[in-house]
Amino acid sequence: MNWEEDIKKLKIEFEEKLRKIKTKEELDNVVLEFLKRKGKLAQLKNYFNLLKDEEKKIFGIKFNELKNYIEKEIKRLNESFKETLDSKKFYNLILSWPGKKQYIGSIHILNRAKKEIIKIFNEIGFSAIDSPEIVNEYENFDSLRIPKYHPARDLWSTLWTTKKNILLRTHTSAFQVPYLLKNLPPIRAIFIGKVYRYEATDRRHEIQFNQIEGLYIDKENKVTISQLKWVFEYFFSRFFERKANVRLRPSYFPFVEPGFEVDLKCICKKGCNICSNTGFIEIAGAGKVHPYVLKQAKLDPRFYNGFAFGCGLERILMIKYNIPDIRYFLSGDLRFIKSI
Amino acid sequence: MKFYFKILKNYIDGKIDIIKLKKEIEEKSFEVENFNKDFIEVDILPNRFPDAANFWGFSKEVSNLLNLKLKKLEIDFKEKIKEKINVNVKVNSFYTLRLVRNVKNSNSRDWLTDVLRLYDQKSINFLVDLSNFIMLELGTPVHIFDFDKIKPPIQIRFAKKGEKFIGLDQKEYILSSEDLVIADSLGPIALAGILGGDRARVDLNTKNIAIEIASFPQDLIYRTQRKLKLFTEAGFRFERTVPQSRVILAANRICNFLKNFDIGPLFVNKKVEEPKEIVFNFKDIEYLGIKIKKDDFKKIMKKLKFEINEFKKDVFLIKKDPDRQDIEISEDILDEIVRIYGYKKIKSKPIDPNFKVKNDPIYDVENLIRETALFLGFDEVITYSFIGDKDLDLLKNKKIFNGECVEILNPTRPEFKFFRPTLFIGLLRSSDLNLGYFNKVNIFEIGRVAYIENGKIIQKIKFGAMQSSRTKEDLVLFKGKIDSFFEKIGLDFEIKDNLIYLNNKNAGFIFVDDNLISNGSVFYFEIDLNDILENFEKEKEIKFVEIPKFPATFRDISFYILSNINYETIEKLIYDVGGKIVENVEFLDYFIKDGKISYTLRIVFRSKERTLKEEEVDKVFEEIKKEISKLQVELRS
Repeated sequence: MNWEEDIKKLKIEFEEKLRKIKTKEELDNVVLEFLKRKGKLAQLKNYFNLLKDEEKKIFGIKFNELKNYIEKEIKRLNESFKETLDSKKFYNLILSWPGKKQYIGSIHILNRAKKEIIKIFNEIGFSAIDSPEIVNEYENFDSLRIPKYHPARDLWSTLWTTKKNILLRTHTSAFQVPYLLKNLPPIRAIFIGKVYRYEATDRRHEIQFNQIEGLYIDKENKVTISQLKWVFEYFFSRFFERKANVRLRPSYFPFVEPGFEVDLKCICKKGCNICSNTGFIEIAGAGKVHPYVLKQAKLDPRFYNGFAFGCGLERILMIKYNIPDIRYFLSGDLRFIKSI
Repeated sequence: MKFYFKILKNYIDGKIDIIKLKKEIEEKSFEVENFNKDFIEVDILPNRFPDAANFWGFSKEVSNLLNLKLKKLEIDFKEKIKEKINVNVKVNSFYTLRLVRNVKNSNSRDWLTDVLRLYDQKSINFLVDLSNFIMLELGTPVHIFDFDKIKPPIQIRFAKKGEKFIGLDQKEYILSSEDLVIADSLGPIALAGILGGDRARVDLNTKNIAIEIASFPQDLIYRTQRKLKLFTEAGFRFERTVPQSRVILAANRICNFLKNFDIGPLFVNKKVEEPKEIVFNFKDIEYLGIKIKKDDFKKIMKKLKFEINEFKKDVFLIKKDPDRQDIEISEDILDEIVRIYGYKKIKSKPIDPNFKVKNDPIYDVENLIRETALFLGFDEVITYSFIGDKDLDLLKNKKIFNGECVEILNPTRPEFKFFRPTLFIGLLRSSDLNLGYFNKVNIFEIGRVAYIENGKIIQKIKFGAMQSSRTKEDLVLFKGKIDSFFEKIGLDFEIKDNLIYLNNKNAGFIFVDDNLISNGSVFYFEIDLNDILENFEKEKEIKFVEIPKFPATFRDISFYILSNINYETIEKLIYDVGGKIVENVEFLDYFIKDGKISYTLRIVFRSKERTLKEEEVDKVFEEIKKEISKLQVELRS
């Protein structure tokens, strides 16, 4: 007769059963097995009468220990089953897990930027206007003071169509004169869209990319380079989400005079790849609209004046997001599109 | 162009602070491409090339920027003979020619070969080297003929069609009537402004020479160089024009090196054109957003060697430096003022932001469509606007596009031969690529397409959406997306023979194919944004519809379709049989088993007058089922 051994065994048996319990039902069975009137615990109690008095005391202590333990464990488990049935706790559990997603597509970075840029320019009075990509030679070149048989044309290598005088616009400036012919100043407009170049592609060059063109023509009021500089500062500060420092530098574009390059101060302190260690990034071309261009648009340069600017969309995105290769934009690769 | 400081020293008095020079050049003149203790390399754009892309002109710029004095250019010599060569100049050119007798040609001295070496030019002999040097120094191409090899009279004329010319490079060129030549009685002795001829070549035995310095029309040189694919330094300069003032200067300067020989008088075909005076209104400086004192303005003009005359208060007549061909109008004067004064001194000034904004309405359509497509689970791509021959064949075979494409004259690759007439090809390429990385690909693009109709180029903005999938059944999902698309943008549409109609006008199409991508199907639809915009503009009247007073009862019916029965037939049958109490028929679900598709439709019964009884609905529903079962369908419930 070894009651001590039996108490230990019963404890082990109980613990094993407890581990296997998955449902409330199984738990109830265990309760029946151990705690009911003729259950295993009750059977163990039969020892009591067979023991000597001095042993009875010790047995009583050990038996009660086991009984308390079993009751406590069952109560604990019972509570936990109650918990899962409580819907508030159930919801909390689910919320802590991933849900089944409704798939929503990703917008292409160029169009997200386009939307953002239109919004920024809208804030300062510029309207976004759609413009054609296939234009004629006059619109792309002659109206902008880039005559035929002139090396200035070589600054824009052109994709021509087999139709005479028809080409894929090399710059959004091709829409300046057509737009001005249909809209009387004062005007503030931006044209964002694709332009095309006959060019070998590499990390920085594509045959197809986007430009942002700005045109601000006023009547009688003088539009100044100071204001143009402000427009650049405003736009780039908003676009790059930091205070933009802008530097102007003399340059040459046949359709503006004076014409200049616009550089943006690089965020780097000591020079970096983006700015080729110069501290400044070439970012746009701009200038006062040439009287010749105004005349092409049937506007008298004595009364009308203004400025125009152009800027590469991919270029500013490559700077903003550190994109190393312009060819990603047209790759059609969703791994790129979803990543940015 | 590279400028070596040791050469610039010959033209400028005083010490050149090269660090300051670099800074000033960048801020006020040209982009600096390269810079070290020996040289500065600058990018001179076409407008400043005539005056500044040479030692003398660049030195002028440097002396302006650093406030240094320019040395005097040595141009003294004495004419020793009276003999003048007469030239018949038949075209619009500025032409000079001078005879020099009893020259002694030799190898060049070190100073000359050293300069040429810096510009990667081989020394040939003194006379040839000297002419190359003058071009570098003053920007004027110089050509020297061996006068004994010429048979006067000399003419400047257009070539005869098919006329042959052998150049200094020993190559034969066949000319056309647009090419300008210098000819003697035997034929061309030079391709004007581009290349000298072999026949009158100067060599070490040359005794008598004719020195030609000229300014030829830039467009003619531009065309001939490109037509003959013959590009020379002289041609490059003439394309950018050579100032007449420099021609005269060079004609004298070169004689300074030939003082020991018998120099003749200069033939010039016309007077040097006097630069036109430019009227400049001092108040126009306001355009720059800076304030400049009149004295400072005058100083800048003086620096640039522009003569000014205030003929009326604040109105100046300006006579420019004749070397500056790029200065023509008052805006050019502004350009000079602002760069010399310093762009960095311009402070920004806000514009009045209050200005009526109206974006192009097509952008609203674009945004709405894009949002809708994104929410329907399509990713946006942007692809090349071009397609190739094979792509066009595919479009024709699949009857997607049958018209005439806009063809590119000079495509960069064969795949880029046409401007795309549909977005299909770009989306197909992108799908193919992405199926390598993703299981299902749903993509769309919004962009321009173009084609030719009745000889005219038509450009349109299209929306194209493509789903590529391993299972055909997914077409039901794709069709659902098309339905949702139009529901979301709020337009009614119809499909007939895979064409999409908006308000009875064909606005797009649907295309389905099993063979275009490896083991998968392609589903595609394309629609015209302008057609959508048009339909938006015909704004629909919105009317209040009373909320039903009585409850609805639903019955679902499921059946396999066994032959080609269209939805309209079933829908019409339900309404016809069910009568007034059928309020609506809705798509509920579908499944596919053993190649058969089963649809479940939900019929909504409701009366406007009363609550319908269950038995009544059951009776009508049974009637409907009975009628439907007569069609080629297999009822499931």
